[in-house]
Amino acid sequence: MAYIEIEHLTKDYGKGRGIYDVSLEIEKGEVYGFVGINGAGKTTTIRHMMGFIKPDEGNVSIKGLDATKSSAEVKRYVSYIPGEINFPGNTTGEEFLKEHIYLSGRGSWERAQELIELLQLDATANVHAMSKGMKQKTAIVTALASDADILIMDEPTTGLDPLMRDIFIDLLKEEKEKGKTIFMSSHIFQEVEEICDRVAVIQQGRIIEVVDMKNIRYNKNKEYRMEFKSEEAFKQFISLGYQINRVKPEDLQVFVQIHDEQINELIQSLKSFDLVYFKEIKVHFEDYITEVFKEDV
Amino acid sequence: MLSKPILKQSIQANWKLWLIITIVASTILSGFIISYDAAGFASIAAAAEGTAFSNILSSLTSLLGSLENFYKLIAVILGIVYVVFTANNLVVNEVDSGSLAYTLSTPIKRSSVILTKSLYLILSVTLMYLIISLAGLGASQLQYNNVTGYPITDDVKAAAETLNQEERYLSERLYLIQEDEHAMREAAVARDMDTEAYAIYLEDLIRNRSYKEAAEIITDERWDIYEDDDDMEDSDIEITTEELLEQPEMLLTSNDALAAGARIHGISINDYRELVVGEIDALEVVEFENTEPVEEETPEIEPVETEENQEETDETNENEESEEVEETVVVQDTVASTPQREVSEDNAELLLQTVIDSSATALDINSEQVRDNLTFIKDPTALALSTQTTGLNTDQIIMMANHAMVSSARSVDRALEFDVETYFWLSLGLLLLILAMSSISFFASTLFNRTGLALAVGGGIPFAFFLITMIQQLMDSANGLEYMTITTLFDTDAILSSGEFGWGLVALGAIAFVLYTASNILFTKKDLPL
Repeated sequence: MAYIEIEHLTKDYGKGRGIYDVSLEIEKGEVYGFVGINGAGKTTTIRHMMGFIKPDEGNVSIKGLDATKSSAEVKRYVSYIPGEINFPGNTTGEEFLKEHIYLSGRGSWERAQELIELLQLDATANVHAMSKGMKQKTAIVTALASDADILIMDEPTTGLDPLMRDIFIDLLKEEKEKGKTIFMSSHIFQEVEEICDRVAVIQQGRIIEVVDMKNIRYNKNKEYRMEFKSEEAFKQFISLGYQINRVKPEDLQVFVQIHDEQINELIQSLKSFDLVYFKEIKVHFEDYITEVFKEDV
Repeated sequence: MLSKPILKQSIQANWKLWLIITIVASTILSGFIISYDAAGFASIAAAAEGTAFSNILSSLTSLLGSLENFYKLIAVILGIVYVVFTANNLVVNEVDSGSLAYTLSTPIKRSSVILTKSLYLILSVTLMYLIISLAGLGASQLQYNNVTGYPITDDVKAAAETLNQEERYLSERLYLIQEDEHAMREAAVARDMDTEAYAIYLEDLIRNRSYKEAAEIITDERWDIYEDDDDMEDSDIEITTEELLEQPEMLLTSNDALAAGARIHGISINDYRELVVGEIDALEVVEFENTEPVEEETPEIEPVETEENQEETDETNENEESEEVEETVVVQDTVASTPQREVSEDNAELLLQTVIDSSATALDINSEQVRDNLTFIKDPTALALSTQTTGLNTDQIIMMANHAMVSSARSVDRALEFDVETYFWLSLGLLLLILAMSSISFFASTLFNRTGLALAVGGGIPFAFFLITMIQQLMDSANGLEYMTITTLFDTDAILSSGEFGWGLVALGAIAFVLYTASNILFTKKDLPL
């Protein structure tokens, strides 16, 4: 059984809103991304994992515990960053953090202080007086300082500036090295690509694809783009029989797909041609997803 | 199941409003009690007796009765303000803002979250109204000393100064005033009486108190005897002061009761026993007389028109009663020593009014002044005119004046009495009413996920109840409105008049219990948008 297992989860709010038959398996130590556009059902799925709402059908189990029935028990292992952040009580950020660490029964104030410094957070401010970014930072500190085995985060980078986002991504990498299991939703594909091991794509409440990021990051089939100086050379290259994805005859350009094992062969062949340039075309997750969405539509 | 951190958090978030409302309500109640004008209300009520207003005013003739508006309106609206905002703050506000997500992302069960929050609301309301009640009790005690002892009235204060005694000490030993002529004079002036009337009043008061204390002791003794007797109703066991006044012989059977009575009089038990025996004999004589055939009770009266009298009474009595006067008016030139007519219950009030008006005319002051200080009646000039207009002799008029002074003083005393039991039921009823209101707000707060909706329903319903009550109080008539508000279940009239009010309070408690329980179940099962 997987560390976190979502089975046939269905919650129908009517009028096509809700999630339908969502099934995911998240392994221990994995960083799992959950992407989709706004309203796709990311938050609804996460609320089920936290036991805040009850499924119409299916179930979520975390560490073998039912997330709905044993909701309080599950929280021993889980830290959470909500999609919309507001802190209870009328206290300062520091007081809230201390209280939360105490209530969670794990984590340390020292770690929280490290994180506060790293994120340049003024935690002495009242939680109600905080800006969106400050709240987000406080939420991140809360989640990471409480040292839980599982981190469930609903769009944790919203409200962070690019610099802070990088720091946050580094922090997540640290957590991953410690063996933490991380589940995060996002609509920013770049950050997902940077850190996630696997990514589930949700659209209109249904999982349409689960992508293993290794296949994108370490894809041995690469695409190269080249431009020839003469039309003669251009035509001669085409006749060599490499797998050509696309040609642009007016610019004398060719897009070649080739496996890493054959790269030397290609370079040898190209020696005899007069080239303007030669470069690898990188495939990004974003391009990939865009393709997936296009196909689906 | 109770979560201490949640309780702490609830207190931190809500103590300010709690404190403000508690202070405001305590201050208002204390203010009502301290500023209660016993003499004023007593005289208004006496003036309105027999008119349509007497029913409305009757509740004002006692200190607790005058607090009805506090219990029905002021304390209720303050309570509503507290419970609506707090209930909202405790649950729906945290759901709507999403801050509950943090509480629920720790290993605290939802059920203990909601239980703790319900208990916070229930306990804070209970504590609030306990403090308010104690403040009222304290104010009354400080102002009138009427909670733990006998009220300290103006005469006691004056006498205490003269005798150089503690007011409270003296209020329990009124016989000390009787023993000192100077103190008697000062005390009488303080109560707008002359010494003669005051002596009667004081004697009457001491006698009543001794019977009251004796009756309490006899009741206690009877409780011990009949406690397990199923045939005896509670009311059969209890001996009231009135019952004892009718049958003083009961006193002779209990040494403790005799001792209590004797202590009030400041005499020995044996002397007191003799006093009681004397009263028993007197009662028997009266009974004997009453059994005699009554034939010549009313002496012959020769009604003669008196112009002056007619004019004067017309000024004050423009109703049908003046016709009665017409019939019973007496010859003008009566000899002072022989009464031409007798004072009976039917004409006493009217005669008194005539006497007051005559005195006012004789002394050239207005009737109100005379009513405020009835000693004016005893002024020789006033007496002369009064005897002329009423046909009563001076002794009768003086007796009447004394009687009027004593009874008005007694009604002021009664107005200042503080019945702890009634106060307890008023306070408990108010608490239950507010708890029922709070359960409505709390239920709305757990039912809805949006603050606005929860506030509209959870605040709107209690506020509607309050408005209906207010309209009802203003119109002072029942036109079905009383069935539309739960405040009817808290029947202050019934509590003040020792009527039947228990089931209403039980119903209020039941409403609170059901709605709080429902809230707890609902919250543990519902979907939370966090």
